[in-house]
Amino acid sequence: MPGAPAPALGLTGTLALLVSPLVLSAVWVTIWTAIAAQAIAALCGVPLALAELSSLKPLKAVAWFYNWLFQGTPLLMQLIFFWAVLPILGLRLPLIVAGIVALALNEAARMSQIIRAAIIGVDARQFEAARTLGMSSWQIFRLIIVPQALRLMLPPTGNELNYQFKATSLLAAISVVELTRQTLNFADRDPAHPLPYFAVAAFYYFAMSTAWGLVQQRLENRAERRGFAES
Amino acid sequence: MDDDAPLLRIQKVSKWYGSHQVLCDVSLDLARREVLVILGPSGSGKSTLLRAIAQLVEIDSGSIFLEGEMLGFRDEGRRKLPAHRIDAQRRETGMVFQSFNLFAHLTALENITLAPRRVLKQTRGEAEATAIQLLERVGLREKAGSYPNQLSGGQQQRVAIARAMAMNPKVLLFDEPTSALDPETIREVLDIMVDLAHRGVTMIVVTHETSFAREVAHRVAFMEHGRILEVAPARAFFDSPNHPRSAAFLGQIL
Amino acid sequence: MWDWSLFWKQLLERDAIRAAEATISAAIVGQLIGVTLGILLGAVGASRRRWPRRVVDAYVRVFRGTPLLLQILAFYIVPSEYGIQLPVFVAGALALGMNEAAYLSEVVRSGLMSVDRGQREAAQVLGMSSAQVLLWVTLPQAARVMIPPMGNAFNAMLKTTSLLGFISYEELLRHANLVLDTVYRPFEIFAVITVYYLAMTTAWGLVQSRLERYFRVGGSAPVARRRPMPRLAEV
Ligand SMILES: Nc1ncnc2c1ncn2[C@@H]1O[C@H](COP(=O)(O)OP(=O)(O)OP(=O)(O)O)[C@@H](O)[C@H]1O
Ligand SMILES: [Mg+2]
Repeated sequence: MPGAPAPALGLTGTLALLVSPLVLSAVWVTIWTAIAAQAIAALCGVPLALAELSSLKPLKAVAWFYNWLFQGTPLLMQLIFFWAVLPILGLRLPLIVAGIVALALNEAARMSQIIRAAIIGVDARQFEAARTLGMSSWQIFRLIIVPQALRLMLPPTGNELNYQFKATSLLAAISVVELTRQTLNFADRDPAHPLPYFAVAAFYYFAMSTAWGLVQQRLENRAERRGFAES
Repeated sequence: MDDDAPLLRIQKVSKWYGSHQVLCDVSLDLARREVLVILGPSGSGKSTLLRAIAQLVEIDSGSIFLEGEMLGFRDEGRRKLPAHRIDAQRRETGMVFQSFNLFAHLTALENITLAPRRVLKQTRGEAEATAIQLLERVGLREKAGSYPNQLSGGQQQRVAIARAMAMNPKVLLFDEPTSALDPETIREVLDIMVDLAHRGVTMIVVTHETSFAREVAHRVAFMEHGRILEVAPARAFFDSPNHPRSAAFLGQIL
Repeated sequence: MWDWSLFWKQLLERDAIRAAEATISAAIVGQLIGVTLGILLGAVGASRRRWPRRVVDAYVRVFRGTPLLLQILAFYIVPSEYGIQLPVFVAGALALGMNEAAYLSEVVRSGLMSVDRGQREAAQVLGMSSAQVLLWVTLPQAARVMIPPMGNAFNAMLKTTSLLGFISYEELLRHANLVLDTVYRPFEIFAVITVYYLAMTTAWGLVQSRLERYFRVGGSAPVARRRPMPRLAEV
C-alpha cells in the first residue's frame, strides 16, 4: 500500500503505486485543471488581444498594464494572492476553483500575445482581396481573419497546454491534491524513501506531455490535410 | 631536409561517401614553390581532394605526407593522431574557399589576426603588424575595420587570402576562389594569386580560369570520376593534352 | 480598507529588502548555472558524437517533461534518502539552473547549428582546436540569436525563485507568507512584493534591450520578433 510504513517500496510496490487510486485521482485532477485553466485563458485572451490591437489608447493601456502585471510577477504569487484574498472579499469559492482562475488569468496574458500574433500573421493581401469582394469589416474579420488566425494559433496554444500540465503543480501551494501535492504527501509519510514517489510523479507528467504531443500532431496533420499549409 | 624531396606527397588516396567512391587511388607529388592547377568536370572530386589535404575530410585509404610527415594518422596501421596533433598539422596548410567564409562577426583585420593570436599565441601588436602588411599587399589597407558584409565579394576573397597567408602555410589550397565572383572582380583576386605565385608560395588551385593556369601554373592535373587522368606541364597540357578526356574537357571550356 | 502606512512600512522593512536580495541572488546563481551548463549541453548537442548527444537529449526530456516544482522538491528531498542533505540555497539554485539549462541547451544548439558550416571549416584549416573554434568563432556568432532567449530566461528565473519558498528558502514570496501569518493584510503585503518583482523584471527588461543592441555587431540585421518568444523555463 502506498504510504504504508513499509521499509522501502520495492519494484512491485512502485508498480502498485503507479495504479493506486490516490495517484490516479491526483493525475486526473492535474489533467482536468490544466485543460480548464487553458480553456478559460484562451477565452480571456481574445478580448485582451483585441484591446492590444485596437486603436483606442485607453484600451491599449489596459491590456498593456494587464500583461505587465501578470507577466512581471510570479504565477505562484498570483495564485497565493487569490487564495488569500478570497475570504476577505467574502467569496466562498472552492479552493480548486480559485486555483484554476489564477492559472487562467496568468495564462490569459500569454494567450493574448499568441492570439495577437495570429491575427497579425494573417496575410494583409487576404484582407485586401476580401475588400474588393465588397465584404464589410465585420464580415472580413469573421469569415477571413478568424478562421486563418485560428489555424495559426493552434500549435502555440497546444504547447501552452503542455506547459499548463506542469503549471498545475503550483496548486500544491494551496493544498489542492494534484499530482505534486500527492507526491509530497507520500514523501511526508515515508520520509526515508521518497524516490519512488517522485519517480511515479515524473512518469505521469512525462506521459501527459507525450500523449498530448501525439494528439497535437494528429490535430495539425488534419488541419494540413484541409489545405492549411504551414508557411 | 633535402630540397628535391616533394613538399607534399599524395599516395593512393581513396575516399568513399557511402558506396560512392569519390577519390580512387589518387597519387600526386608537389614540389616546393610549385603551382599546380587542377581541372575537371563538376563532381570529379577536386574539392574532396583539397579537403583531404586540409584534413576537413578523413580519407579511407592511402596516405598524404607533408614534408615527410604523415597527415592525420600515426602510421600505416591507420591509427588516428590525437586531435591536438591534427590541429597542429592543419596550421601548415592554408585554404581559400569558394564562398570566402570570412568570420562574419569580425572585422577584416580581426579575421586575419584571430588565428595568429589564438593558435600561434602572437601578441596583438605582432599579429596586427603582420595583418596590416598583408592587407597592404592585397590592396585593402583602408578596409581593415570593415566587417565582411560591408565588403564586395572580391574584397572578401582578398581578405580570406590574407587570412590564410598570415599563418605562413607550407602549401596554400584554393578551391574555386573566383567562382562566386562577378566577372569584373575575378581579375583582382587572380592578380593577388599571381603575385603569390611569383613570390614562391606553393599552391594547389582548383579553378576554371585557364588564363591563370597558362600564366602561372607549372603543372596542370586533370581529374574525372575521382581519378587523376593526366598530369602535365601547363603549356604541354593546353597545347596537346594526352588523354582523350582532357582534350574533350578543354574543348568544352575553351 | 487600504492602509498606506502599513504598505510603506512593509515595503521598507529590513526583512523585505533582505528577501529581495535573496530572490536576486538565487536568480543570479541559478542563471549562471543555467547558462554555463546550457552552453556545454548545447555544444554537445550540436556535435556529431552520437552517444553524448543521446545523453543530452535524455537530460532535456527529463527536465522539460516534469514541473520545476517537482524538480526542486526532488533535489531537496530525495538526496536525504542517501544521507545527503543539500543546503536549501544549493538545492534550490541547482534545480533552477539545471532546469533552465535544459531549455537553454536547445537555444544554444540551434544557435550553433545556424552558424554556417564554412565558418567552422575556415577556423579548422587555420589550425584552431575544437574548443577554440567554439569559443572564438561559432559561439560569438550564435550569440546574436542566443542572447534574447537567455535574457528572457533570466526574467523567468526572477519569478520562478518564488518556488523556492516551498523548501523554505526565504525569498520574497515566502517572506510575504510569513508576514501574512502575523498581519493578515493580503492586499498591502502582496502589493509590497509585487512592487519588488515588477521593479526587478522591468529593470531587467531595460538591461536586456541594451544587451541585445550591443550583441547586434557587424551591421547584421536584428532578429525578427513577430511571434511571441517560446516559453522558457517557467514552472
Ligand atoms: N559530404 C558529402 N556526402 C556525400 N557525397 C559527397 C559529399 N561531398 C561530396 N560528395 C560527392 O562527392 C563527389 C565529388 O565531390 P567534389 O565536391 O569533390 O567535386 P568537385 O570536383 O569539387 O565538383 P565541383 O566542380 O562541382 O565543385 C560528388 O559526386 C559529390 O556529390
Ligand atoms: Mg568543388
